[in-house]
Amino acid sequence: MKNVADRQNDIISIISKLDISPTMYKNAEEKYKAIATFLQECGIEANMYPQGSFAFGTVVRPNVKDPDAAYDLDFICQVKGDKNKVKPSELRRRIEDALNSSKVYEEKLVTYEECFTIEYADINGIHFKIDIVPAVDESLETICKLKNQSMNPNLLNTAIAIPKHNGDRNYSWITNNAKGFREWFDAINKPFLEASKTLHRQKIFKENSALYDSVEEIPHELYRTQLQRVIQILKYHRDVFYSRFDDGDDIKPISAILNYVVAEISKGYKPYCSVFELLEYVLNELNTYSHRQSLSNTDFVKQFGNRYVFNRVDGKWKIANPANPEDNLANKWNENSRIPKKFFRWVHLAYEDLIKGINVDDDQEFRLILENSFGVKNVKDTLGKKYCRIEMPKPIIPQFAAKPFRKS
Amino acid sequence: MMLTIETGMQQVEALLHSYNGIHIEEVSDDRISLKGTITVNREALNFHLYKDYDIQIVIPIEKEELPYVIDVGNQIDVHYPHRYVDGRLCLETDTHIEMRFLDGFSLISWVDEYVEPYFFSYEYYQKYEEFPFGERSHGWMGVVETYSEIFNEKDIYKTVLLMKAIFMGNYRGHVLCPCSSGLKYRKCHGILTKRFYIDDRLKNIVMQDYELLLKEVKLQSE
Repeated sequence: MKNVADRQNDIISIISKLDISPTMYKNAEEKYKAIATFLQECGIEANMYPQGSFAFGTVVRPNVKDPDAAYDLDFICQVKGDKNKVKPSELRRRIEDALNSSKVYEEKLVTYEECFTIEYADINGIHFKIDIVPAVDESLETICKLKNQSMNPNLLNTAIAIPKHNGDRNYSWITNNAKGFREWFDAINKPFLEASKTLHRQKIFKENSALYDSVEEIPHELYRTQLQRVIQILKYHRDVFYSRFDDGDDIKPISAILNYVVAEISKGYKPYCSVFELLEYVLNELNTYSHRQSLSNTDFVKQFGNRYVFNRVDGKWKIANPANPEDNLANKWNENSRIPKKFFRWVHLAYEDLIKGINVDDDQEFRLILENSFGVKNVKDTLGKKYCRIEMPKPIIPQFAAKPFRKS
Repeated sequence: MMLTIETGMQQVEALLHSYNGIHIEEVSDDRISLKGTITVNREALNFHLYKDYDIQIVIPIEKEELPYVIDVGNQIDVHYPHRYVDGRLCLETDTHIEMRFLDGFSLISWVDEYVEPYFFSYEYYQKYEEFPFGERSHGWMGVVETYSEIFNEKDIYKTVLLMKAIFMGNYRGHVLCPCSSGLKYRKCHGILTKRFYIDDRLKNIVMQDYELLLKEVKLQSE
């Protein structure tokens, strides 16, 4: 007798295991604050803060093929200064020199074209990397210009300028608004947070009583709302799906897209919903947008109303960054037609797996759906042999496998 | 490669032992026909397939023909490019299979290495719209691609030149490699092609394929 609620909880359990643990969260917090303090001591007046999935609370283990891969936690290191008075390459050098001046950081530091990475080993042997993007304040001139174009002008007050690599170690400033994006997300997440806080508080406190003296101490970043869980479930399902293609990393929808579209779609949804109610709603909406592939903007709007999360006018895809009107999150979609095509294929499969799949009668069939959605190992590590009625499958080695043919 | 009624039945018995859902349907002078259900339980690339398929396996006897499988359960979409109208499934090039079983055909290994992966490829393709292990081009191009892999030569034209070299005569390591690398054959593709000159069984396969290639190309240019 299938138990749908049980199955849903099992999926959330699998995803929880892929999330960062409270211990790692606390550890990462200590580490990044230490870096900020150190830079201060080096004479760099910097404000360091989380961005991206770490800021949104939607981190999942980064690498499907390598379960021991380090978690990537993204940060902005915003230095006081006028972007017209300092060159991006100079700022990078200042920070790099400061970090290299410390024995501790020097050996852990890796310099990339657009960020600095410091890798740490966590207590439980899981690694995490702190990726630092240097930044300065964006100019008032640029902020004004962007405000005029924006649906949410107040968000632009926190706009920054970050170095963009143009090849050959040549850099220019480009606008970014990590804080604004986070502010936007937190506003949408708030009602969900209020609704689920009471439920989760006691549970988290019980599980982490070694870390916190009282319930009140637990940072709200450790509660995962329904919105955050939906984003995490979709992110990992995405990762497993795209891991199957050679160009998967190049064509998969970036986390910023998922963070944005899911939050925008969920805006105003009843906050006392379950994770799977919200997931079904989001996937239905995403599936509706797939019609934009074949319909003109006019025809799409006629049939489906003025849905604007994904736009496609005159054949050009646009997913507007709510915190930066000049940033089209879907600009790569217009360079490679494979990207939108595979995206909507993925959405379709996510619906099949996570909404329809939950309801299949046969437990074994459900187990297969879980494995194909989240990876055989992750399912085994969380659920053991639950739902499993068959023996282990025999692997096929791709390099030596037969290729289907046709004589004529 | 040819199976006699005795060796054929031996192979069949071994197969039936591992695949309980299959039974012998018919035995005649020129073929053994098997029918039934196989359960494919395989995984690759984070995809796990567990499904039953109703099939017929035909094993030619006293003939230089490979066994083949028919999708009697109509579980492969008629539009799938690697399924013939009559339900026959095109598992791989004959070249690939013949080379695999150069030292003697094994029905069990054939099912394990060709039949099951065929169904796996199909289901994966239906779901993800891509072939998990790639696919061969149709016709003679697919055959040449098989040799491309064996000779480790990406260029189709150069692969054909290598096939031609084997077809034409004996191995001469000191001459320049037909691929135009400027290197001596024995320092270039000769390393991978040598066994085709020495082993008559391999040489025969190449010769058959090269002749087929000439015929096909001639037909096409007409």
